[in-house]
Amino acid sequence: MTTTRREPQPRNRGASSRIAARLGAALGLAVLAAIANAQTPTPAPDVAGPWQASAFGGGWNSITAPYNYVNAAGSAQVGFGNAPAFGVSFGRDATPLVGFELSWMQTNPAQQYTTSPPTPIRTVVMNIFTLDSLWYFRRGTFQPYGVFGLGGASTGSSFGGTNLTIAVGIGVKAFLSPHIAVRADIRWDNMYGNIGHTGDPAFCDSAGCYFYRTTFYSSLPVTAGLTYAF
Amino acid sequence: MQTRPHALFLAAGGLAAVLWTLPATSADAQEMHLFGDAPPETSAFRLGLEPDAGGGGVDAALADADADPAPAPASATPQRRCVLFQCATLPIAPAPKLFTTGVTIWTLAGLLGGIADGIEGPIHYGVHPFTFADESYFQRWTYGGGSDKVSHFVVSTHVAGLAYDAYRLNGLTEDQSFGLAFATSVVAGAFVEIGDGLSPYGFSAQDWTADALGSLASVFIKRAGLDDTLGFSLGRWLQTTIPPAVIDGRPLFGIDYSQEIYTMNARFSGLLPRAHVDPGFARFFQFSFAYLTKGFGYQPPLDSRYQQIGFELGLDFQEILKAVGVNNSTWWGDTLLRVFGFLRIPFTQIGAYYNLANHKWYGPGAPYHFY
Repeated sequence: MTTTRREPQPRNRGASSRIAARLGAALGLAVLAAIANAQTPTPAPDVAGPWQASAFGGGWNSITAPYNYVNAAGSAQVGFGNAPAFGVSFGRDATPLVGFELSWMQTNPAQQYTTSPPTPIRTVVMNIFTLDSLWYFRRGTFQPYGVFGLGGASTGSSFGGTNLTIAVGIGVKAFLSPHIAVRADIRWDNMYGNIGHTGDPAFCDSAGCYFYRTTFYSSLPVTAGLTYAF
Repeated sequence: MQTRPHALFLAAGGLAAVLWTLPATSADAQEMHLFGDAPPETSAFRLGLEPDAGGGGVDAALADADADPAPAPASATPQRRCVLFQCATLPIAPAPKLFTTGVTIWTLAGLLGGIADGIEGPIHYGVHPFTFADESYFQRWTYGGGSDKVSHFVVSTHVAGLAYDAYRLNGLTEDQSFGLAFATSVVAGAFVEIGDGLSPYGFSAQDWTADALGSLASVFIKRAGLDDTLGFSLGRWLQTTIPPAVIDGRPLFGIDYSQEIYTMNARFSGLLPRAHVDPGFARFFQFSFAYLTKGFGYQPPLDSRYQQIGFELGLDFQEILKAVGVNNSTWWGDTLLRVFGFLRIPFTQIGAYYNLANHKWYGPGAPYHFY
């Protein structure tokens, strides 16, 4: 298989984006309602709150290869490489049990043939937006939690568009002071790109088209960062 | 791409020597446990942490200082605890602020260790334009077969663990120590990768991820008081000889991971008491899960290279040292215990090993040969 860089031909992925957007909007409204109706939680004595802003960095690790690249030469598996990632999040603890936050993370993985070693085709920018719920196992200055979130992972309309993303994971915040915590998260992001377009290609370039191999493809971001509570 | 643990530890150790001059502190001790608010319920649960054995790290020492309703004889409880070159008298006073002099020096030592390690690449190869490298993890096509990632993980467990103990010795709470030790180790790892990014290796997100996971595992183990039960070791000097005919003149790229082995150790001295079993003589042994690679790093790659996992029964040298009176009430005792916790001593284990390339088991024996 050759590695010639090919210019992409954008495809209309509007329906999946609309559905993802509706799901996200519904979740967002539910969260806003929950926050509005919730009593202001009493933060732990040594922890400020309930608002929190975080900045983090780490590694975005691709687990499964999402595409079959079909062109005149045949078919080949194409996946993502691993890449550094960084992002920010902002949210509020709605109750002692649960908090919500909006999260943005960006990574720049290669799209590559899954040969040994992989053969890069191009590097894409992936933006992952999620609305996360953080379910705290305990509070205080040491806060392990589970994560469940919904959102979208966008590689741009030229390279697959925005895919519905479901995130589950675990994390921990350890407070150094009432306002500053160190945070670590390990997440399993599941991305679904074929809503309303079963069988359609995700995107095409001048030589062929990229079809989703499976319903979901997944990744494992591992990140660490700082949280400011206020 | 590769870890150079000696640089990290030398830099940390050198700066830590400054801590020798810091005054010892005394005040109320603090509680330490992972999720609950209660200390371990049974005395058996604490057998691996008895102060006269010198084990259990700084947390155990602090726990013992305020948890025993009947005080032990004074002669049985060392009144000092050391982390490398810094020693303090028990009980240890809570730190009045986060970045006291001791905490600052330890943090700088960790960060400078990362910088010292990171600049080795640019010094050796010259400064290159910053690049990222996608090395993946355990795939057979990778240059180290995953040994480099496990190496990052294991080294980071000890960097973060050392930092955690140092912060506790300087009066930080277990939560502060958890966060700051994790952050220090992760940022030090980032410095290493930034240096690699300026060298032909490239910044590896996978290396950094391994650093973060190792650091996280270590501070969790420390905070849960499990460091008498779980540990990670790096074995070197295996003297593996790959026949010259197999190498056929190929150059070796980077570290020769054929001479290294990495283990996760379940120490009977801590494990059995937690199961309410008197370890007896078994406390001098440990069960280990091992990972190693042979024949990786050559260009072009050897067709016969392979990865192995293994299960070993071996001597627990930390426990043997404690049995002969070494403990962490002296700087040399603590240093000795840490060195023997970090290094896997060759030829003191017997195990069975599974070759992931040809799917065959080897053993019982030692994994020093190239099959």
